[in-house]
Amino acid sequence: MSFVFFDTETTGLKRGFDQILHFAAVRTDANLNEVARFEARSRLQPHVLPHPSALRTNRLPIERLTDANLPSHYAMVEDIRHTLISWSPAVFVGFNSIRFDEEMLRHALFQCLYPAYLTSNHRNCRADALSLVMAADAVSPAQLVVPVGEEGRRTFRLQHLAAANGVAHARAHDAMSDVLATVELCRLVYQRSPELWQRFVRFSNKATVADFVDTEDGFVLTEFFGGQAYHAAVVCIGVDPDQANGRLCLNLNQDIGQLAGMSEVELQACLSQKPSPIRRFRINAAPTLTAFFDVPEHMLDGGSIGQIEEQARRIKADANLRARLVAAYIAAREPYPLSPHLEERIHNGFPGPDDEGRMYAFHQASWPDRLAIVQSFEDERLQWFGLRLIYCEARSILPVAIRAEIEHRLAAQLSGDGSGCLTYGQALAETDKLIGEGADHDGLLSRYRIYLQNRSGRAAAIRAKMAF
Amino acid sequence: MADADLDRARACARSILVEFGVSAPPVPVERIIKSRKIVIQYAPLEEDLSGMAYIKDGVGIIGVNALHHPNRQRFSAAHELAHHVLHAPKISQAVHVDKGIRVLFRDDVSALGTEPMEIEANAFASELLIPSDLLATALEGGGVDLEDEAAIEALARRFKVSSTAMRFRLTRW
Repeated sequence: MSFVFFDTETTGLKRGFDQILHFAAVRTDANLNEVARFEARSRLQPHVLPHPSALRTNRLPIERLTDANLPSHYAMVEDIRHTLISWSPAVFVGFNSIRFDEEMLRHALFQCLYPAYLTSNHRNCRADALSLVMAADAVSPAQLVVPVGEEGRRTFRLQHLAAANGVAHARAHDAMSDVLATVELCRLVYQRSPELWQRFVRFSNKATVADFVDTEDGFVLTEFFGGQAYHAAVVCIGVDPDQANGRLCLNLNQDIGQLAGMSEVELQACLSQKPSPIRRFRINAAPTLTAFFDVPEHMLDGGSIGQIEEQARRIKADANLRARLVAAYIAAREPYPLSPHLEERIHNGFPGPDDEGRMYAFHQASWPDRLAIVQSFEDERLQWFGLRLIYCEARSILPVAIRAEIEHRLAAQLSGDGSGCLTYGQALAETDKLIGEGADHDGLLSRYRIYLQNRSGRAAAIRAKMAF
Repeated sequence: MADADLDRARACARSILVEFGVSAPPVPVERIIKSRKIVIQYAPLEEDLSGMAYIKDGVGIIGVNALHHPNRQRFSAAHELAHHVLHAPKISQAVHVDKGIRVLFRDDVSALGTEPMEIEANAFASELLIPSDLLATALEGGGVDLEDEAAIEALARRFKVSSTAMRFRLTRW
């Protein structure tokens, strides 16, 4: 068993619309010694326009992304999946991975008709090295150097942290180089802040987090906003009714008697303040939690552990107050609207068991047999991703009418209102902006501009043809 | 090889509970371990490895498999604590002889309870996590049908142990 450190380089930051171009992973033993490594790349999918900033950052010219010798996206995802499952169970760690790389991987898997939650299933756990480094800085600031960036603010960017702490980082934004730098930063915390490392590993396990927040008479929750750590002594008041992995906690700096005496309307107004006295986190997102008996004094904001625990016990014992707090918080919360884009609905329900069977059957079938499987999906997300996948991989097997329909739909998306994928108009405007700022010293952006003009011209011709 | 001394193992567990003032389940095993200046470490270990106990540079260390369910982790931690409490001389001797680290694995062999040290550690862990007096209170003076899965699961949830550990404990109730 082991840790798996991983990183992705992508066409942009828009989850569900951008794609992974380069994936790298290093498997280590429990003491962070490397035992295996893996890398995979893919060529650009026809429905994805890279953001010019991503090309600039990753130093990837468009002609390299469209190189026909590169594996297809589907082949790359298949390869990643096979390797990661063979390395499971493990603790999956990346730098800012919970918010970004994990999501990119989930979308890639789901859009290739694989189960999305590989790093949460197969008895895996997951954690984020960025949270670890921020927690290390907050709890024992002498252990790591956090440099000051160009804007005069402390920066937690991987390349800056690596440089400031003597960590080798040969090529920032190369997936393997970023993985190796992340492993090395983790080794520093492992050696210099062993207590913190233990909590990091422990709370990578969702069941352990659930057990901890349920059992403890309060604990300290550390949240990070804008590179700043905020500690709060809290007690869990219940499960988020809208999400099984969500936990709602009350900040223990509140006057409990006053809260209990409020009407429902007053409670809702109180709980919708910013920052809200209710703190919400996901037990499957490796939250930064500290038991009271491990907490340094400065994290308790002057309170004594005894008093705070007594306050927590009082709330835990008052089921009625907890239920009222949860209900008021939920009532005051803005509802989360359903996205008009299927690409953004990954978290809107799991495929049913019949569709799961079809997903499995899809990968076992030959390309000509896959169309019928895709057309039998009940889930509209899988239907669309399946059609698009066949179009990308084996469009010659598609009947002319279906192929034309897919092309029309993809062309419409790439010329859309900008609420979904990056459109031709947006990509050209962003490219021109960067060129205007003098960021095109090697001609990478100019060549991308030509590529965009050619593509958008062809798309306009298709739209014109469809209009007749 | 000497027979396992189960009475001593359970008495040690009860003594720790009194010392720590535990009055209700679940027993705070991590706090107990830390209060004894033993370091508890979590790591992703092989599936069949639940935990380990060793002494390094004079510091007692307990390793727990972070990938296991928390209830199983608690039992592993309590089991490894038993090795430090009951078998410290052997651990220390072995440290000296064995390249600075003496490791006691909770593997399939010990789960079967075939080694006296492992049998003692299991008895200690069982008594520590499911103390007689707290179990009696939970049972409200009655008993429990060992065929009643739901009742055993409810008790296990209350004490934050696995159903297997609770069943193991109830077989000698």
